[in-house]
Amino acid sequence: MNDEVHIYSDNIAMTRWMQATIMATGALVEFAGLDLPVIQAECDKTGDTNSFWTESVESAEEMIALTWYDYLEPIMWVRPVGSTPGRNLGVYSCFIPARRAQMTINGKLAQGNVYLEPRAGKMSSTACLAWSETWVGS
Amino acid sequence: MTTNLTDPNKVLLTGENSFIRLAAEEGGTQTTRISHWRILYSPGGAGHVLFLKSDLVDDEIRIYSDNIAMTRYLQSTIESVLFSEFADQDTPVIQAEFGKSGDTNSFWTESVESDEDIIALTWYDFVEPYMLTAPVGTIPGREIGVYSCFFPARRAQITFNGEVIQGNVYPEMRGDRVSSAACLAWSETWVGG
Repeated sequence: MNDEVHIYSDNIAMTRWMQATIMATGALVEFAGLDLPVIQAECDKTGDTNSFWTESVESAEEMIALTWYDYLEPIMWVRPVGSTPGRNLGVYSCFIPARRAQMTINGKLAQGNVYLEPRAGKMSSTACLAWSETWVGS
Repeated sequence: MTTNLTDPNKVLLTGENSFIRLAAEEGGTQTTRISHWRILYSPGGAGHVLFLKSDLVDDEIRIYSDNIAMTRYLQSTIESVLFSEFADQDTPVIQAEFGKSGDTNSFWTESVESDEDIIALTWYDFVEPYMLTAPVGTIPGREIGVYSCFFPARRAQITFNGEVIQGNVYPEMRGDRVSSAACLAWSETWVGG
């Protein structure tokens, strides 16, 4: 995709709000451009945390499948407002890290590997299910 | 520099635990209490369970679920701490199907259907959501902790086989937040051990 940013959603209003509040303040600022088109898509899920979990995204032109598997122990991520200096947002989330993951776009496998990375004393990875996530801010 | 924090305890489960407690008058005895769980992750797997105690069914405890393994785990780890009457492992688990509809702008309904019963739990007239943080040690003697996003409702309704269960929802404070006896409790994770 030549590093082009694509945004797929079934709710453009929520997407624009999230870009402005969450994406704009973190490491994913490339995703915050409000001029980026939002491609209408249907989103679905299948699997469980014993085996694999797949999120599927289908637009008029693309079919994307994101799959996490080979899980590590889940982690409760606790980052109140003030944890990151200068950032007026906080987040609470249950991370279920995966040792392995796969992404396909229109049947083509995206290349690359998942790597382990510790998070504050817990083993995590560069591919996590992040469930029960709540963002807070003033 | 970012301070990265993780709760030091084991994650027991994550999902939702919405509840409704009805009474005839403010501060009065609860006449109906329900605890509805939607579990995404637990050692017993994913699924749903509804715990119900109501004067409509003579205060008998009813448990409806689509995953008995998760239900028994939840009883032994969480409900035994929250409300011991729901924790009895000898209480039968009635097989049921679960559905949901609505949103937090208007109303939210959880539906439960077994061979013999149809139950609808509806929350509406919401107040401002808040984040509940109660790490292990917040409540003396309780060795489990919880993080949850509460959507309190000023009003709620439970129908049991088409009959509206009597009783009202009353406001209550949690810390300095206005809450109520009927809350959607989403993004909920329990930790302990």
